[in-house]
Amino acid sequence: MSPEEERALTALFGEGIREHSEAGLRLITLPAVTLPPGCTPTTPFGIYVATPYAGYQSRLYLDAPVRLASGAIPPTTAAMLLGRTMHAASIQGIPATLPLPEAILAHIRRYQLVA
Amino acid sequence: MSTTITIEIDGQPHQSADASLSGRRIKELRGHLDGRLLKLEADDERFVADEEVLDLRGGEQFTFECEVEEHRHHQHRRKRIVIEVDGKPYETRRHELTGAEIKALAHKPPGNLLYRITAERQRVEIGDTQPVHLHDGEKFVTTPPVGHAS
Repeated sequence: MSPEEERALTALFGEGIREHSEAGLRLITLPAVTLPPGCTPTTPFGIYVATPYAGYQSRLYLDAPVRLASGAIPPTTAAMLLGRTMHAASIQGIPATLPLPEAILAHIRRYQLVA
Repeated sequence: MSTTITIEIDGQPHQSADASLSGRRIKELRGHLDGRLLKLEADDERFVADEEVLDLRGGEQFTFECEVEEHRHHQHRRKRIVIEVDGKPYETRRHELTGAEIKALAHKPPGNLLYRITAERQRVEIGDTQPVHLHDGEKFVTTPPVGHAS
């Protein structure tokens, strides 16, 4: 990742942003992902998959399924990444080619918009 | 045919039958204020010299700044500030910008969403017309309005 991306990700998600490679996937670990107000958990650990994966252009996995502010739990799938069981809501249309902060924010924003 | 225009000086309305006024004449409308600086309040606020003639449309707002010597210190204090947008630094002398202006400063698409990051790592969405008082080192991020649930 570029120095600019790392600086923006650190401002957003805290110290300890790391890039990993596993099974051909580009993975970015995010220490504390602040979800939109009303979501639980509030700041889960996250792994962003910056590679097309499982039929998605990119994916944002969190270490727990998210309950939205409305109380609903969106359709979620689980995967084992970097030795952890992670959960991702079904979100399409976010290209892995976007700069990392922009793509990750676009994923997070969906948790605010989905009823 | 003459048209009277109304301008605001120090918050007070003043009328003029002449739409071309010098800085000195605008000062005279307000009273004797020699030694003080006339400032045109606009998107890109600036000082107006006594001899400068402005073509006014009406509705312009003027204020007075401190005396010349103090102004030099004031300008010195009005330093450049650096903000970060998507991790990249951008410099400005303007201490207040709207969301649209911050995106333009950083060459971001106008359709992107803009967020300010607080010290607690919270994201606060900034609207295009919303003015933001900027602080040195303040951080912003943008994102395109993409993605949909499936």
